Amino acid sequence: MSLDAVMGVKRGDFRLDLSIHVSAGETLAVLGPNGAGKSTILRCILGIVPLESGRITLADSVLDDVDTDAFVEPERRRIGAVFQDHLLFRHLSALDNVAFGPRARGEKKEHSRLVARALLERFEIDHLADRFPSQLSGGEAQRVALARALAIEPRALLLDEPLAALDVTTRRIVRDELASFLSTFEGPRVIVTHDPDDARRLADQVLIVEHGSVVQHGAILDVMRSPASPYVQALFGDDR
Amino acid sequence: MNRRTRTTRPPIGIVVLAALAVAFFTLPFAGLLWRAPWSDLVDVIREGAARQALWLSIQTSILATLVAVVIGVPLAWVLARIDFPFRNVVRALATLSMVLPPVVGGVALFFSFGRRGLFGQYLYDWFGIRLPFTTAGVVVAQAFVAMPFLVLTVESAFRQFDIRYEDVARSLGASRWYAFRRITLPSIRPAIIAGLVLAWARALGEFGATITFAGNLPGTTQTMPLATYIALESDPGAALILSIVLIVVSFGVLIGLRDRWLGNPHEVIRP
Repeated sequence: MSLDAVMGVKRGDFRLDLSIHVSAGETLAVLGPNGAGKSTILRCILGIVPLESGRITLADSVLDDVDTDAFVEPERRRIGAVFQDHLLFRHLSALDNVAFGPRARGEKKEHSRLVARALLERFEIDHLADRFPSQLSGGEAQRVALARALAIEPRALLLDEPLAALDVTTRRIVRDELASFLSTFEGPRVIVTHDPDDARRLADQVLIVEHGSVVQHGAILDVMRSPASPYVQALFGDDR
Repeated sequence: MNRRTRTTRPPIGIVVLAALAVAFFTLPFAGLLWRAPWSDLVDVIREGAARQALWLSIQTSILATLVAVVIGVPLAWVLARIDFPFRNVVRALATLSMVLPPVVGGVALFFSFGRRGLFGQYLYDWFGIRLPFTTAGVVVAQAFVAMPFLVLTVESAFRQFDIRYEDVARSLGASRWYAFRRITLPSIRPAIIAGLVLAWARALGEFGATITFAGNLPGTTQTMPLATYIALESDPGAALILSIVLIVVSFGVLIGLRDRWLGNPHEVIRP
């Protein structure tokens, strides 16, 4: 099961034009400066932004294909997503946040909550089940957001700057947690970040995006060794 | 006085002006309470007409608020989220009745939904529906002037709502409609309640459009404000009592709703 996407989208002056390939069990880190189009990539894969040209496939199912006019609505794609500020639903408890996916997909309330509780236990936060998002720390919210994404048994996992909202110390701890979690997820994983440490710790390959196009793509060590642009050079510069 | 207390002390000018505002709101009621013939209180309330008017006011204002919610919330959503030509014109039309003298609104309603009005004649000929001088007409007049308050409040909440929550909901398997019902609406609940209270308050106090469009028939269209105004000419004491009843009801509802619904719900739930 791999994720393959050739994406073309135009937004005003901005043009995204690139392709990605992520195999099952592999993590791709997408790095780039602000406004490079990193989040747009994820929004295309989720189906929130329809393609204007190109094609996205996950395993053997076509999610978006401009040529054949095929488009799967976001709610039918079963792709898990975790965002920078977690975007937990503020009027729902942690448990009901996690239960939201199964519920929305038509499961009974009791069953959805059972699924949610099991996931909270798996992330060792079942004691937070009745808390509301405003009562959770950054690290706790992160785990709830992951649990919520997993509750739909996603076929792929997308993480948009998942660590950016955390302070430096929490960040290191949560990053380690995330790394060990990602290794247990069997589908393709894509993580968008601007932090080279995230890429080094979490990803197998990196894709450097600038102005909507790929500047460099490869294993992280290769990219670090021979940076293809001043941005990449500066990104990993401190460690060379 | 040390530096700390000096900097946390509120600016005296603002406090004085705020106190002036409070006095401005309170003094008229003091005058009303002072002149009210308290010995007549029981008689006036026991008398059928006052109770009838109060009951009619409560019923019609609640119905008008419901009408405002059912069509006003969708309108607010469309204004906030859909970009269409002449959106500003539509928004201005939807809030026009807030600015117009209510009497003008009443006249407009009469010439459009009256028995011989532009649309009213068909309502009557085809469906047998007659609005002027009926209780339904009162509800229409009240909804007409009250709805803008709800639309404006809710539209601003829809604009401030972070649309990415809907994106997350959809990625989790929610259809657009499910995400709207289960995520968007609950998230802006405080604004809906606030708009609802404003609209209800405006409907309860409605006078001009009601008397122009629905008339002043005791038991059918004579609401509290109308009854108060009429009583002012024949029996000023009764008018004062009616006013006080209206004040007590409104004040009670405003305070009750504010404590229960308008606070931050997440703060309230916190153990």
